[in-house]
Amino acid sequence: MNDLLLPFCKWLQNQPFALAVSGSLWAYPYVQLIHYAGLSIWVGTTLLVDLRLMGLVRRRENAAQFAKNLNALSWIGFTIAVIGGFLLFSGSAETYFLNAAFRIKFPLFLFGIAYHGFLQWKESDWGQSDPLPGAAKLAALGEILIWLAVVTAATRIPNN
Amino acid sequence: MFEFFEAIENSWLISSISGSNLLYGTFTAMHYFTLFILTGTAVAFDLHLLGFVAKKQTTADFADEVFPWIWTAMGFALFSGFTLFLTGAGEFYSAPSMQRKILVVLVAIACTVFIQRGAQRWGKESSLPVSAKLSAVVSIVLWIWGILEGNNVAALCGLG
Repeated sequence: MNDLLLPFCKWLQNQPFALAVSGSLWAYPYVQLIHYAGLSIWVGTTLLVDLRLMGLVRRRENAAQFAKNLNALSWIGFTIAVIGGFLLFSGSAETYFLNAAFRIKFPLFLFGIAYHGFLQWKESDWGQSDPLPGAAKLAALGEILIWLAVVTAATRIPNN
Repeated sequence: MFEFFEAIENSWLISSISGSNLLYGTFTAMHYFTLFILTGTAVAFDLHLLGFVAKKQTTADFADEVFPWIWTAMGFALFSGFTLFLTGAGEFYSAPSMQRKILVVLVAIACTVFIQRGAQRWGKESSLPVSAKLSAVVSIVLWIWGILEGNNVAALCGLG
């Protein structure tokens, strides 16, 4: 796998857009800003829905409607975070690829996306009833822990 | 002043945190995670005021759902942020990026208080006043600015 991906990383980091990010003093903080702004929207809105599924948000509407209100914004945040993240990665792709913390973060991130997709699919079903079923609360807690793990692994990248 | 912050930085409690990978990593992860929640939920509410999110929900009800978690996340973010500040207080207190970050965050918090107070009043009106939309735009700009200044501070301690 490394034999395939490492040459790809070397190729990626030599692309003009990647060189523009890594070679510019002013571009890097703004690309980081794009990544963090997107992540804030994604994590903030995702966790709000999870907390609602756990019964920890005041009940002014049912959980399915609450989730529906925030889902579009969540995915917009996700798209912004992925664009910023891809640009950050491409700037030093080889270094990131070999980084131990990144190798934990990235698979966890992919798992988190799949898990979020599953949860979003179940929300409309679980979210109609109040109180919510135990499975919904457990699944929501699981998602909070996954994203906490992703963020924790990400904060360890500079130290590895 | 420098001696005062150096003394705090070198105190037993703070040097235990800065000297421990586990403790420092935990506070860093807590700071990033709760900041994402804080910024994401605050921006979600601002976008509601601008008419982009939770259009069917009343402003007063959406505020009841969202604000308790904005303040909870802010509590954790401030606690972890202050602790991280103390681990490098001697250097941080005079760093322009840290001073700018603190100033921007304080103004953003004041703006959030203004919006929360206004939300109860605005929620009773048939359409949101210009002041609500204007404060939402200011709040979004402030939180994005706060992230940008935070990136510069993170670069000081090798996290950016």
